[in-house]
Amino acid sequence: QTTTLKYAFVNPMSSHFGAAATTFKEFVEKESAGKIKVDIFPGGALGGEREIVESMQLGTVDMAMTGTSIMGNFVPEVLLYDVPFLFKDTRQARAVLDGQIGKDVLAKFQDKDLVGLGYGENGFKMLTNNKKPVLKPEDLVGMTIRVQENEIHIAAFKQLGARPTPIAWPELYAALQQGVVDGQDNPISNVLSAKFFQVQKYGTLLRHVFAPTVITMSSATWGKLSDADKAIVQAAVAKAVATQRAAVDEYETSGLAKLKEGGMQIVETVDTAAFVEKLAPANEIFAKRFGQDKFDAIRAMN
Amino acid sequence: MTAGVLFGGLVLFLALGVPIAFALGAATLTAVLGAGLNPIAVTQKLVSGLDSFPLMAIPFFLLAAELMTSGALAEVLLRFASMFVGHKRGGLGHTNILTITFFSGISGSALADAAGPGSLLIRMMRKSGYPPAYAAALTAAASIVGPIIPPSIVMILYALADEGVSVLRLFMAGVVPGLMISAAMIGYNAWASHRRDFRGEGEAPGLDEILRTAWRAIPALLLPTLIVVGVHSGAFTPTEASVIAVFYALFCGMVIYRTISWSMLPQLIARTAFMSAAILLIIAASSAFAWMLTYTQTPQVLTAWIQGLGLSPIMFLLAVNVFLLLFGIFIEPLPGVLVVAPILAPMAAALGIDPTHFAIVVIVNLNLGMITPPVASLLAVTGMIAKVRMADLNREIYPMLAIQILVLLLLTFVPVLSTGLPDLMGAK
Amino acid sequence: MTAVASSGETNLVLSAVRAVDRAVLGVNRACMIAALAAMAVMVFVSVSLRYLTDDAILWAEELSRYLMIWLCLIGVGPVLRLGGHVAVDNLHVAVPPMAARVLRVVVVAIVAGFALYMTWAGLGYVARSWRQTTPVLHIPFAYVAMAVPIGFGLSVWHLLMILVPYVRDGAFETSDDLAPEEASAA
Ligand code: NA
Ligand code: NA
Repeated sequence: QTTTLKYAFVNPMSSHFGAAATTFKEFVEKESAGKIKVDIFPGGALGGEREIVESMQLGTVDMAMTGTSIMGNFVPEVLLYDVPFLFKDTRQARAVLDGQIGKDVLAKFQDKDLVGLGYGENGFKMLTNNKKPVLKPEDLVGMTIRVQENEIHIAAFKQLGARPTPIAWPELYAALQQGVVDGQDNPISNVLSAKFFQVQKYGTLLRHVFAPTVITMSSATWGKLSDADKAIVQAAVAKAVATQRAAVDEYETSGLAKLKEGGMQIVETVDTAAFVEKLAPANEIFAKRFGQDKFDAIRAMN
Repeated sequence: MTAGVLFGGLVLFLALGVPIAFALGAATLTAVLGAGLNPIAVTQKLVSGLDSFPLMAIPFFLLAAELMTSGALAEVLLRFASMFVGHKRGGLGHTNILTITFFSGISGSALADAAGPGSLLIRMMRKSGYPPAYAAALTAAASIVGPIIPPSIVMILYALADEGVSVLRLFMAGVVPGLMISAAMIGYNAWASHRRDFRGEGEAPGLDEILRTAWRAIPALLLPTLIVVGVHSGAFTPTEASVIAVFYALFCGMVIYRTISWSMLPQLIARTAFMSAAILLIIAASSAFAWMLTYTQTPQVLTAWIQGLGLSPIMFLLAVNVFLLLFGIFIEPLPGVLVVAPILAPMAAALGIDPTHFAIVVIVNLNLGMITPPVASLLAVTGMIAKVRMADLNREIYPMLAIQILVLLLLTFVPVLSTGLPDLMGAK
Repeated sequence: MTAVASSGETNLVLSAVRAVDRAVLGVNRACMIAALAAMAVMVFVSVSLRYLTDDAILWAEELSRYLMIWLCLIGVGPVLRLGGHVAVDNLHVAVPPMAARVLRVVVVAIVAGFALYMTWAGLGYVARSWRQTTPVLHIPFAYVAMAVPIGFGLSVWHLLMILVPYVRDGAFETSDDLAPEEASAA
């Protein structure tokens, strides 16, 4: 008999999430000779990210691709990736995620009725605002920056002298347009798809946070798959991750060009060291929480 | 099969007279159990359907209106409005439509418009002798423009689901269609008022009374001004504006008009809490129902079928309109956009239909769902405020709905009504 | 003699139930008032602080959302008592009184059945939500999920309290809580 996998995410089908899902679907359906079918639910059709994760625990959604931040409410260990300036570049970030550190974090999913299958990414975050080009930490002082509901981001922006403010995602575009907040931070892909370049004058490729995504399956669904099917799913995840990473690489070039076309003034290189130094007190707290050894191991990787 | 249980259950429960929220919930639960899914999913969807910050504008604008009307403010505003148009036929109805159109430029949600200025105006119209069912229906029909004239939560969600349009462009595209709907409602109100002789009491007031009333009305008239200036200058978001309105109304009632005392507050808040709970439960249950509908992939199957027909663009648009009107009978616009936009927008684009034009047709159509009985949140709100039976309300709403469907057809056949303004302003 | 004694006992039980009911409704209503008032104050203070200080209360947005969930769900029962849940009543008006009474029994059965099922499923939801925390406050999500079994459980109580007059006459309770015009006119 056939198994149908309900695969959900909140980004549109045309995004790097949709590309990954399509790759996954095509590979699984072909390799299983039609024994496993994949139904894709894009655009939050089955709920927001928190709901989707909850639904996997309930078994009403079989698998999903989400950001890691939301996963932190279920598996606190993934919040490690939110620590600012943890990763030097994309190559290192991918190596860490695919390596032992990343695997150890995925193993923690088990206790929560979830199976972590692999990491994709949204890419590095950029900072946008309407006040002035941000080149050094001092430029951020007094600026109201919309942050995700995440204590690490909040602590980091406070430390930098900005005023972090929570604004709900559906209201963010209007809040930026009308000046309720001066700026926000998101990966290039989101700045593009949410069209923030229309309402934000300045962009800085601060690359302060690398935002991974994670492909997760419900433990109940995973348990029903045969070993052969599990192998097909694992192989398909690897393909999907490769597709997503290629799409993000594309954003870094053509996406950036689109932001410039849209009228955004982009600062491409900043003095990262100055930001890292300013963040030192906050980083001490993060090191205590996640373990200095992990930080050292990550920084040792190249 | 599951979709049959879902719709069949809903229609049966509604016909039996089960409250709408319970009918939606029980139909969803029946379908969930029938499909062998974990019933905890229904409780999860009820919670997540309510877990939204913009939704908070509903209880807050309701509370602001309650505080406003509990003082002498309703009387003051009524006298102020009736000084100009009250003694004319249909005058207060026109005031209602104009006020709501004005407010829709502030709030992003139709429910907030109906709950805020709408509830004030319904009470004023009642006191001036309009049938309560007519007042409630007119307010609901006028409030449709809330999410069509910017700002609009529905448009933001649509733009997130369809890469082909931007929020900015959609916002501009909504202005002309929104004003067309308001104009159509004013036309209908003029006709109905003439035929049924709706008019306020009394004759035109003298100069001293005009001045006295205007002076007393200034704090009340400052509220919308405060909100408009606040939102457009970026002092606060539309949702935050609703809470500013609460405290401004409280200040007016306690300090300026001195008609609200501390001891009255619990009762005032209780009334708002009861009304909010009733409305929010419908929204929560509706989002659970929409989730189950998506889960069964009914929208996908239907659209695949439409696609298979090989329709011309105009026939496709008409088919989509019929489909969405039926869809809107049961589904509210917010969950509706999340369900249909990702599926329909690519199909329209493939047929060469302008994405902005298509977005407006979909959004206007889905918004009509808020006044298509029986699952009609706007009618639920205004009906509760006016304390009228659903059957009476439905009788009044049908002609207004018919007129709005005519406007929708006009928007469907004449793309420039949607694309003209954004093109003119150069919005991409 | 025995008949008098037993009717005396019945009266005693009835007045005890009535006393409990008044307490339940009073607390339930007070919680709704408190939830709405707290939502308004928190969001207002949070917006004000954005202008008055460099700090924003980051948990205000989250907590006020959760209070709205609680407000809606614990409001299900009290609203039910007052007949505030909108229904399509065409059939009830169209049929003879006896048939309408039967219809009302069916409506009660469906409403009660749904409420009981939600109470039970809600307990399951709570049990699962202890291992999920909220993003800002870091409290278990179970404290939010609890609104479901408590709200629907209470609604079953409130339904029982209006059962007889509703089934017999289609009557609900009356109160100032859902009658704004009369109250403001007085
Ligand atoms: Na609006
Ligand atoms: Na409807």
